[in-house]
Amino acid sequence: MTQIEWLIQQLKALEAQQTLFVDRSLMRELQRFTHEQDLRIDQAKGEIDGRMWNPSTW
Amino acid sequence: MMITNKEAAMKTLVLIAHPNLQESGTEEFLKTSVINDADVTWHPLMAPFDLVAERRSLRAADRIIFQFPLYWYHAPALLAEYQEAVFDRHFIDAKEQHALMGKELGIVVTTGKSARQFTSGGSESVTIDELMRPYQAFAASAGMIWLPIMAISQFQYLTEAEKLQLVTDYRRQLLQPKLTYFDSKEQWFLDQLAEKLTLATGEQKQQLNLVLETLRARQMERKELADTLALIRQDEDEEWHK
Repeated sequence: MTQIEWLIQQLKALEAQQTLFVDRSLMRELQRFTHEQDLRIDQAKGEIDGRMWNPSTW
Repeated sequence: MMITNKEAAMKTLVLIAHPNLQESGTEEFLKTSVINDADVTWHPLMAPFDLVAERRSLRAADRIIFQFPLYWYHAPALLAEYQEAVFDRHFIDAKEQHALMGKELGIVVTTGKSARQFTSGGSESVTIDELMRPYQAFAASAGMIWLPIMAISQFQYLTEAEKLQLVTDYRRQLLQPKLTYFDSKEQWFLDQLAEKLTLATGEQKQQLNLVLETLRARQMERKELADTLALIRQDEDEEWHK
């Protein structure tokens, strides 16, 4: 299981435990946010790789 | 030990201009969304206005929200009445007061028609941004920071999942500093989680703590990557300009 899968699983479990709609909402939106944060990390890594391997700057 | 980077709590004043507030399911829903947020003051407008009290509330706020249903392409008359009664040149832009300068002004507008209709090619042929322009002009003249508009369309047709999203979107609109920045959004979510952690007990507390620590580590990783990337870009720019 990747760290993201684990995080989403935990947040889903936390969402199910909440009794207030506002708390369920927070746990749900934290899942969306976690994916967004993950995408930023992936894109930054990809861009760093791409720029490091840019032959025109060697 | 709990580490928080929370900025000093921002105070938000929500001015609701609704002629039938008691009967509005949308307003009730929005009110319930922020009922436990101590930094939000929920203030339904009611004429006649107590000038001193209204101005005191405005001065105490960092972010001011005009919230209303769209009636014939503008706010209900109540908001204009409030503006005329409470704002005057002396309070807004006279040299000695500048009472609202540096504060933020945001709009939360609910519409009976869909968001698609309020696009330049949509059936209304006019956008919500265009319709709200007078408030933007007001913000500019008062030296306020104009926030992105939040439009809530056709609340009655929202699914349960969409309502869950709306609650947090609305709370962010009221409470998250620097609304358009990802850094700020990230910090807001982490602060919210940290706050939940202080109230939790037992197993849930452990679970929340683990999630929070993991998200914080990822926040750090993301920021380091962004810094590295900024350095690489800077080097490339310098190389380019040699």
